[in-house]
Amino acid sequence: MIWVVTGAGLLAVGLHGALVRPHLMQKVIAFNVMTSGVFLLLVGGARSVDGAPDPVAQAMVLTGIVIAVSATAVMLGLVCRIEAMRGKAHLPETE
Amino acid sequence: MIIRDVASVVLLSLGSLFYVAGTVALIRFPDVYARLHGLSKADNLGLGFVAMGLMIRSGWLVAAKIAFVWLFVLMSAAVSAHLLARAAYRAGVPVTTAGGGPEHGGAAGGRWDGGGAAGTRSQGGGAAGEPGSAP
Amino acid sequence: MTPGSAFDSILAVMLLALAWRMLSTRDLFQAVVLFISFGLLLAVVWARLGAPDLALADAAIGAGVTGALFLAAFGSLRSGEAAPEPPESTAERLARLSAVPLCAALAGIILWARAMSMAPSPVLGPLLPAAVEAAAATSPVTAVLLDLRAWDTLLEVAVLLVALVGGWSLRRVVGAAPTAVAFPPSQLLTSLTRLVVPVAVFLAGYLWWAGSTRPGGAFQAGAVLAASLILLLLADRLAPGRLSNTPARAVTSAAFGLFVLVALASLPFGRPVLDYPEGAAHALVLIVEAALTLLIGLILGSLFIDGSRTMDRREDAGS
Repeated sequence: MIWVVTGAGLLAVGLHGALVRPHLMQKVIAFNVMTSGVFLLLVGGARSVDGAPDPVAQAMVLTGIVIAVSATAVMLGLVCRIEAMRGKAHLPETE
Repeated sequence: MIIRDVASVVLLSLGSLFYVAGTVALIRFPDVYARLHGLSKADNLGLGFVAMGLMIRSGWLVAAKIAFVWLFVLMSAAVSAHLLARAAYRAGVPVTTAGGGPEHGGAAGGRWDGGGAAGTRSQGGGAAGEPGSAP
Repeated sequence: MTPGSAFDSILAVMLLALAWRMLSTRDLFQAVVLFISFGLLLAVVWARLGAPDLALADAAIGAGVTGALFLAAFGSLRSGEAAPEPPESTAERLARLSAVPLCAALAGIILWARAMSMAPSPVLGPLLPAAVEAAAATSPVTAVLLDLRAWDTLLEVAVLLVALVGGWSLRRVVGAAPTAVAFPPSQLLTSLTRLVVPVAVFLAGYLWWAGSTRPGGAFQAGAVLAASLILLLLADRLAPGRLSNTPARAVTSAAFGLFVLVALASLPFGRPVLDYPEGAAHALVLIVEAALTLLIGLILGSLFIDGSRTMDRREDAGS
């Protein structure tokens, strides 16, 4: 149960960071924190019939970890590109 | 066996002690180089004691694997500390002298490498002195 | 309170504190370093939850490769600190502060929904152990990934390929030579690379082989392979172009094609897609995992360069 609470807490902290922080790279970090929160919710909240760890949830999270890293890579590429084109990597866009 | 458990607990506690010392070093030492020095001790010796404490309560195969883990962490921690110190030096991070205050390149007495480093220091500082230059 | 749950509580508090700190700091480098330690703590959490596959994958990919990607991207940015907070009107300030209770409410709703549904799923639950027993691999996670839910894995690999193409298209087209590094790599790094990379490749092979019966498998092996590629790139033993030139693309396409081939091979025999024949199931899973290992290693390694070389280094931009 503690991991479900932690997962929900991480999701909330990550979402807050993604909304509030102006720097784009910090938003990418916030998205990663959100994904970690979701993974904790999935695995921490899963329960198999005979008390064994649930393999389906673990397989989903394993898939999710790999996809999260590739999405992060593309996001970081975008951040670098934005900075190269606009001169800065933080919001607001116009200043 | 009672003696094996006691020895294991003693070794694990010693390892934790080294980690606490390393953390104190991270917080309290004045500059990058001194902190790296403290952290390397924590990494090598602390992990060594923890590994030994675990090895004596496992079978042969698991103990061999733990020994290999320790070996690889030793190698990578040493190289990482070296790379970090090298990058900090090239970026111009000043070394704190025995007198207490940090001194930039050019000062004579108290520097650990004498005056010979003054030339290379200014070179390293000029090439990569802007903020944000990463190692 | 047992020692185990005390340890869990400390871990949970540290995770939340790290997450809060890394998102409230203005120093980006501090945020990246805290993120790497966050990833490592998360790996310990997976071990506590009885998920060694996840612990391996998160330590290698979540903390290792993602941390390397962030550091490489951070090195390309011009300024290391977040922008100074712009002056904001009252409405903007109100909007910003209202985010806190909204996010807290989201967490509360999730916890409430979870508390309402404490029983395990009545439909899937009883069927699962029998299905895992009959599957192609002994390790339950591998069985789910590559036999019971192999379709998901196939689509996931397709997503990885899309991300690879995305990373390539974001790379700035440089001139004749790739941007030079500011100084040559250390001799120590070169020696370590020469020592560690063969061992890492061997370890990747072991993880691939062990994935059928123990925690391990294609993703962890691919992550170790990607880590050795990144090490080679950092030590300048491997030119970045070698990971995106024609032979590399051929290998990537071939590996994906092999997976698709195995998936579709059962169609001519009148069976559904990805239905392994009984006798060859174990061998087929191993073959597919080998292709996946190569694929994931190459993709994650290629994505690393693209994160760090999308713009000219500052030293070259001024000259």
